[in-house]
Amino acid sequence: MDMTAANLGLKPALLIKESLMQGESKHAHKNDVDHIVYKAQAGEEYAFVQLYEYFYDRIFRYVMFKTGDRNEAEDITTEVFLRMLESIGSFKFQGYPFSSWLFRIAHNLIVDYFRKKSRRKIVPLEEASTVAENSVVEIDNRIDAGRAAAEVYSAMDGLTDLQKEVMSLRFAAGLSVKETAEAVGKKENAVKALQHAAIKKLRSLLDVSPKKDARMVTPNTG
Amino acid sequence: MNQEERLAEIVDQCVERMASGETVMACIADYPEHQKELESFLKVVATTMYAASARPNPEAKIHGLWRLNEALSVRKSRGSGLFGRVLRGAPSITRPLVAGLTVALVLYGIVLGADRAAADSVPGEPLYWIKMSTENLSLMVPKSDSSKAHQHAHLAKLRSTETLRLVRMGRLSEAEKHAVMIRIHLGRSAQLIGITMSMNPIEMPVRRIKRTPDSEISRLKDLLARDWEYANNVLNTQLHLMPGEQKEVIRYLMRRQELGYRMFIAMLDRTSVPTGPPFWVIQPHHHSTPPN
Repeated sequence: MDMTAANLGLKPALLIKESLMQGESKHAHKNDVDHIVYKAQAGEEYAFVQLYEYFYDRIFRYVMFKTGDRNEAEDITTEVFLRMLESIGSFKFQGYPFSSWLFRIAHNLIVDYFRKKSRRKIVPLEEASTVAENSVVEIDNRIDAGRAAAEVYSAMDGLTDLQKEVMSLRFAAGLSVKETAEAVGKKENAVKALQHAAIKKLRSLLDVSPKKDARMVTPNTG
Repeated sequence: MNQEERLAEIVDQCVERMASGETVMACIADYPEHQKELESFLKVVATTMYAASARPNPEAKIHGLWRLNEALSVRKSRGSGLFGRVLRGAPSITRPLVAGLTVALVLYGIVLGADRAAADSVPGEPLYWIKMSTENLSLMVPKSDSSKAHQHAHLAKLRSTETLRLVRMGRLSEAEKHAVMIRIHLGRSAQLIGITMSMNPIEMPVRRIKRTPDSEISRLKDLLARDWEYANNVLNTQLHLMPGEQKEVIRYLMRRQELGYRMFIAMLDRTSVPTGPPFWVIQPHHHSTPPN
């Protein structure tokens, strides 16, 4: 994986922030969401539209990250909200957030998708470049970024299902540790441990380890 | 907490900070004792975040919203019939009566199991006759003229949705013909309220021939205003997604809908009929001015 520290350290983080924050507030306004959910359950049509606007991008990123197929991700994302409409009456405020419930719907639809497909699609390098272009405003070294994204998609196959789920919810959907814990039915400490194990595994699969990092190599001055 | 757990905690904190826009280097700088390990971990985090940051296609998002709106319309029409109102408003004392209706409802449900599938159908599709039959049955159920007027207003909105679907399917001439049903339902609604609708209010002034309570008039007016705004917004959204020929049909439909809804609302308000586009301005003695 050929990514410079400048690329990794500077632009992606800022642009990811822009991508995540655009049109939404990450982790914030939980009470606002709860209020909108109440209104939707009471039958207010506009509340459904508000929930759609609030969650669409995050659901899409989550589904896209898990399926690697843009067309399918768009269809599945829409289907998530149609299912939300049908079953929102069954959602109960029992201490866990609405987002966890919604991402559970998305997860189930993805499971159905893979059952039908019976394979995980690996994003080809050309498509990964398109993913990169669509996901950032401007970045240097697009080809390297696209290759890195494709390598991540491929390396995710080396994780357990639970590790993949945690990574998808934390990194793609932008859920907090608490929300992720509720969504996967685990304790917060377990989520952190799963996340750490997944990152460690990806590190070895992507061949990024401290001893192999070029910056750590002492230059030969002799 | 052992070393591994401590590292996991630090990585998680850095994940949160990076998601908020901080750089890898800023996070590493706060934990110099873990620099080597942290750098490799956070490179993976940054790359994964990057790979996971795809933005949705705006057109796909709009299309999804359109599908959600359609589903909302269908959901609303399912709950607007006589039985839906009875269930929602029934006090507990009437529950034995409701239970007694269950047998009839099972039969109703079998028939309407097909209706559920037909809810999204449009003219020309095999299940559309089921949808029409259900609507006609519903119209035959005894109810007040005011309730029927509301029902026809709602059916006008359903016809509008069907018309849009025909446009999206490329069946343009059918869409234009089907759009006439919107005006028919609005006209029927007006009749039930007791208003004679006229496209030539100068020579045929609007008359209200039935005494309908102002509260009912007000409710219907609010419903029509909401339905027109909703239909207009949906059509406007679709206008930007359609190719050239379909754009013209959408614009035509928007003008026709505006004509029907605004005339009706103006007549309910007993205000002057609008004279701007898309309405005719008729000069009684000399000539007629074509629409803009």
